Amino acid sequence: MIYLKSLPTFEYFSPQSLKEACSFLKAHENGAKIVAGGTDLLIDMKYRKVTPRYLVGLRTLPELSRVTFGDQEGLRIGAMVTHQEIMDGPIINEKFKSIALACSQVGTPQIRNMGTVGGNVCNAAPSADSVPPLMAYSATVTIAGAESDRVLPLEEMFIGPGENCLKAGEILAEIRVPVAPPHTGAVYVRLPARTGKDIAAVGVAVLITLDPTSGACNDVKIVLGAVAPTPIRSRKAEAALNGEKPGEDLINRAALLSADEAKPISDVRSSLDYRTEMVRVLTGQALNQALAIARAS
Amino acid sequence: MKKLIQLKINGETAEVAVEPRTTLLHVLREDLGLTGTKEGCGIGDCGACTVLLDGKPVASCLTLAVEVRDREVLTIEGLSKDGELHPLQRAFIDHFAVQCGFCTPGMILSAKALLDRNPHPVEEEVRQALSGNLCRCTGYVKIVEAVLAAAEYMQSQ
Amino acid sequence: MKESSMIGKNVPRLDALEKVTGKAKYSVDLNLPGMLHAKVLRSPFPHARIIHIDTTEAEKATGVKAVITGRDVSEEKIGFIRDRYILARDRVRFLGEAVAAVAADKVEAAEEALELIKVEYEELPGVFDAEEAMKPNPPVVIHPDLYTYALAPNPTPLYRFEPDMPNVYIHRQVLQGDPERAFRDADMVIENRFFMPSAQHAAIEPHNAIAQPEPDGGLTIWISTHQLYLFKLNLCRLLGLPSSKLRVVSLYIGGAFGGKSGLAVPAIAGLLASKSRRPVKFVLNRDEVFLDGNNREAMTLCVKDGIRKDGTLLARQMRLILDAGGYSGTTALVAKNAAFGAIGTYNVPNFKLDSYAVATNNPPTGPHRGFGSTEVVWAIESQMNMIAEKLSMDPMEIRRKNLLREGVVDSLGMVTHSIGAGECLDKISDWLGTVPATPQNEGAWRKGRGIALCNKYTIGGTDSNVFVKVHPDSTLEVRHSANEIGQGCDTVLAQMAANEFATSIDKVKIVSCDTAITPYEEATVSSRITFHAGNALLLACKDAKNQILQIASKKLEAPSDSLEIKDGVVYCQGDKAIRIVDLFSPKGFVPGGGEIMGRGVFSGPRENEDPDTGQGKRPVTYYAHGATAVEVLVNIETGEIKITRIGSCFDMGQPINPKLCEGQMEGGMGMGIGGALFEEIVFDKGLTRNASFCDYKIPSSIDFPTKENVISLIAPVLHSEGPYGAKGLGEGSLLAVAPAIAEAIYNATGVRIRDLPITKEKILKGLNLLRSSS
Ligand SMILES: Cc1cc2nc3c(=O)[nH]c(=O)nc-3n(C[C@H](O)[C@H](O)[C@H](O)COP(=O)(O)OP(=O)(O)OC[C@H]3O[C@@H](n4cnc5c(N)ncnc54)[C@H](O)[C@@H]3O)c2cc1C
Ligand code: FES
Ligand code: FES
Repeated sequence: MIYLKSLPTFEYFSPQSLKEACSFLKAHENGAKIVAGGTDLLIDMKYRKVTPRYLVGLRTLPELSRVTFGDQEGLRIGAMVTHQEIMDGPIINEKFKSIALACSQVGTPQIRNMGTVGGNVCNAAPSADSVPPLMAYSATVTIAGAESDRVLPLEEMFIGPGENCLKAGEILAEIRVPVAPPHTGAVYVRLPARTGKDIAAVGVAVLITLDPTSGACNDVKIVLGAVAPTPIRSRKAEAALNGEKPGEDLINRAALLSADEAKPISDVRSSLDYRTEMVRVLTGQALNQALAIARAS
Repeated sequence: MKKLIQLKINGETAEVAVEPRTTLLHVLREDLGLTGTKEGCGIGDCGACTVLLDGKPVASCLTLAVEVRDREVLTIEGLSKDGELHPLQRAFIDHFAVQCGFCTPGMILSAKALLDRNPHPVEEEVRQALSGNLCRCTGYVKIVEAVLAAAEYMQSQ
Repeated sequence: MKESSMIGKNVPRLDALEKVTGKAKYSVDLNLPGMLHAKVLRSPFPHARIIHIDTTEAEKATGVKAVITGRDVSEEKIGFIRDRYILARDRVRFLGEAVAAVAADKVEAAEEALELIKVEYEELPGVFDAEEAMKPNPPVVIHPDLYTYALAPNPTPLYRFEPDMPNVYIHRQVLQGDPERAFRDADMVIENRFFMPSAQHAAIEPHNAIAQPEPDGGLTIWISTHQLYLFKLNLCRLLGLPSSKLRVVSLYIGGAFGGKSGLAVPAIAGLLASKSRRPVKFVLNRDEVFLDGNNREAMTLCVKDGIRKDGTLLARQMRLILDAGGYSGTTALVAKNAAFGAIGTYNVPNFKLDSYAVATNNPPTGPHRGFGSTEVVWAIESQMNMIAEKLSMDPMEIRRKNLLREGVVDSLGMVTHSIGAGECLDKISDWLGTVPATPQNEGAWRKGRGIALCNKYTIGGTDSNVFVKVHPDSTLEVRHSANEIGQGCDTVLAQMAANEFATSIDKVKIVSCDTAITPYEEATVSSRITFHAGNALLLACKDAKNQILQIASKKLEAPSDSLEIKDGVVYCQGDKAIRIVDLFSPKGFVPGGGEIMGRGVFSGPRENEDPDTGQGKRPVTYYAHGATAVEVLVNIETGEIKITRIGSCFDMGQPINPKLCEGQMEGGMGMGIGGALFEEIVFDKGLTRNASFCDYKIPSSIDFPTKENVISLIAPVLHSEGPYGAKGLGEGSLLAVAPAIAEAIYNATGVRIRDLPITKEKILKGLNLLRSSS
């Protein structure tokens, strides 16, 4: 039994620039951690799952709290943008509804005011709600380093439950979401484990771009949350749909393939069997909803 | 190591010596004697520790005091002005929305944040806005009624 | 009875203003000068021998002022069966049991010091399943000396030990009539097995206490509890203090529901305060509340009924198995009292009950809103629905047919009095509308409706005292020791006092819950305060009024029976009158230099029960009755359940303040929804796997239907002994919710759930089973 305690001691560092933050992290290797909203990290610290010597706060860096949009460069979300800001963002609601919707379903109002999308990604929980729709949009992450920056597909951020690919001295600075082509539908369907406000038992994001003339799928992304060590693409299901005209049978088949690709666990929230079955049900729902939007657009 | 920081709490500036690990909740309750803010879980689940930080409800049990520097904090003690109850407080009394009262301060502050943003909420919006504040006593019925009544009253003013 | 201007009125709560402004004080809000903070070290094993504890390093740690272990606690133990030391001595019997405690100047220092305590354990095999534990040859005997333990004072030991079942704390039996014969005579026998899991009260305020050493060598302890005087009695025993040297105080209580009943928290604070000679505050973290917060036990219930074709119940046999955990707590008593809930609604001429409280190495358990009734009502009401179905009868009809009625002797031998169950059923089914015979579909959603009944007994033989002091300004100071846990007892008692003195509510001042100044009250449990403290209050008012009338009669030179008190004035027939303030003139005291202080003592009725049959003429004081109606939508693809409508109707006798009654009903429905759908403490070989609100979910505002789809109705049937005919309500409101929801789900989907909570997954499993069998 791991007991809850008061926060352990640490030093708090407030950098003047992103580079300074990276250098500090690098200099202190495993001893320093970023604190964003603290809604994951401080709890882990209270349970002594981590006991960093230094916390590096990013509040002083306004560039990380920006949301911008351009037709060419798409949507750019700073790592420190909160779930509430995303769900309230006019552009995001207009053009990237599934992302706004996912963030609106994170935790509670308090948690959404505190928790950031960067924290959600970096914390690398399999159930992180912002991740599946972002991945479905083929989002990339901009990672700042002490020496150099790099850009990765969001998908490649995740290594395992709670494990991301950041190296010492690296900070997630920004998430970029490209503009999807016309005739695209994107959705996020989520089933809370128990109460209405519970962490997701299963979350499914789907993005479908249709060929307007043939009605066939030009591009399909299916991302499953909470049912594998990391959020995963359901590639077999995507492959089954790509290039095809999706009808009821095909959708059912794709949903079954997704269920097959899921590798859930049993925990106090949900069992493996139930999660697997829900991947099928939710994938079917998500595909139908996304198709309806794509067809209507 | 303790650092002196300045906080703006209920419109007044307070200077407190805090360690980096000191939470805002701790500063309020232990250093400033503002015990209207409660602790029910310590990990963001119950909302008893809700305060408004720059007008937004946050869990003060997960907020580092050092990060609150120069920001505005509103606690339940700061809600009534010159002895005049806020309409929400009035409505909570009139609608029997209080039982044990332990959730009440956080509940009222979450409701205030809602009404500040959205003066005419529908019931579903009220329920969503209060969904981070657990109440074990009331079943929420009278709380929701109180918030809607306060909204109506404020509109009529 | 007098014209009542106060009774049945929605007087605003006296405590509301303080509570909405953040000024209301709870014990956890107190900070005393020089105060230390306590933390305890808990056993990592569910069952182990303690070989050695070394606290030397911890004692030397910075900020640490006192460290105690089992060696420092008295021989006195706690529990219904006195089986537990405040800190474990030679053995730990559950994972999370306190083995040492530290007081330090900061919480953090206390936490760090715990890590320096070295405990050497020898792990013992454990038993985690009550049915396995109760076998004649269990894998392990948890309390080898069980039969040598002392027992809590209890007038009738209506239970027995079972030497052949060494892990059974107690076995309670009831026998009425000849059930075996009745089963043979019955047209149909139906038998089912039900389960209700362990649950947490989840009061939002965690358990806490602050102990302060006093100059006379005694202690003052502020405690978040609902058992002020019971705590005082026990803490005197545990701390070795005479009654005169222990003062126990409660401020507002941030929710209780039975949970604030463990003695370990105040006792540890008290021991550390005595040792350090400093005030000590001990607040449990939420996870500790889950481990040692007197959770409701898990109960398995087997119910066998014999029925005639026309739906008449001939016989009922129940077997209850309670997983009490490593210590008996109050669960041994729950096992006993569960019998009351089992017989309180229906007329069952032949009845047998065997109830076993079983020791396991799960955490110990205690009282939870309902005290055994939640569990038995769940099983019995579900069973009634199944019987109705088998007989193709309307579930309402079968209930009406078998209801106890005024004057009928129930299965425990008590004459039924004040039973509004039928009225509740009628009113709530009118509100709900007809239960559709076939489910209604909306896409993947199926709609269903269900109703269940319940009863809640209030224990017999308990006492209340109230003082009413009348100030010269005619303010009535009501001194009582019922805990304001949110139910509104301060307001209800104030209303009664104002009514008795024909004055307004602002003329009543409440002084409560301080053993130095407020009188004995048995405990704020069992929905007994309105009735018991209310009756004591009426007597105290009568006494105080008599004192006033005596003096006034002299001053007015009129016989006291010609006088009447109203709005702070004593009136005489004709036009003579005297203000209460003038009774105190000229010295500020009433003639003779005294004050006006009325005292009321009320002793609840009890007649001892027969140890063989478990029966008695007055085993309980009264029953409150109620019914809950529910409409649900169930998604047959995901198993999701939406409660779309929920309503309750209760007979609590005369409602003193209907809005407060509504509050209890709504709160009960909220807790009931949680218990029906979400709440279950999950154990894995004694390890609590969900000791947080993140992993143990209670309903939030969005798990409740919209306000126009919730109703709380009242169908009062007055009780001849109650104050103004009042009974009680607090607990009952929870009981019928789970069976009503289960019935609504069955109505919607055909899936019958016998094991709570009703998870999405269980619905889907049930649907799959139905599909494969059809
Ligand atoms: C009550 C409650 C309910 C919740 N419900 C949900 C839910 O429904 N869905 C959901 O997805 N999550 C939920 N969460 C989890 C949490 O709120 C989210 O994951 C949130 O987005 C985390 O963001 P944060 O800013 O608080 O992260 P922090 O806690 O500050 O950080 C999390 C981790 O990420 C690292 N980190 C943060 N930012 C960066 C960066 N820019 N670069 C590098 N590393 C970084 C930190 O070092 C830390 O390891 C819930 C939490 C609580 C307490
Ligand atoms: S105490 Fe902060 S959310 Fe519970
Ligand atoms: S009033 Fe008790 S928790 Fe809300």
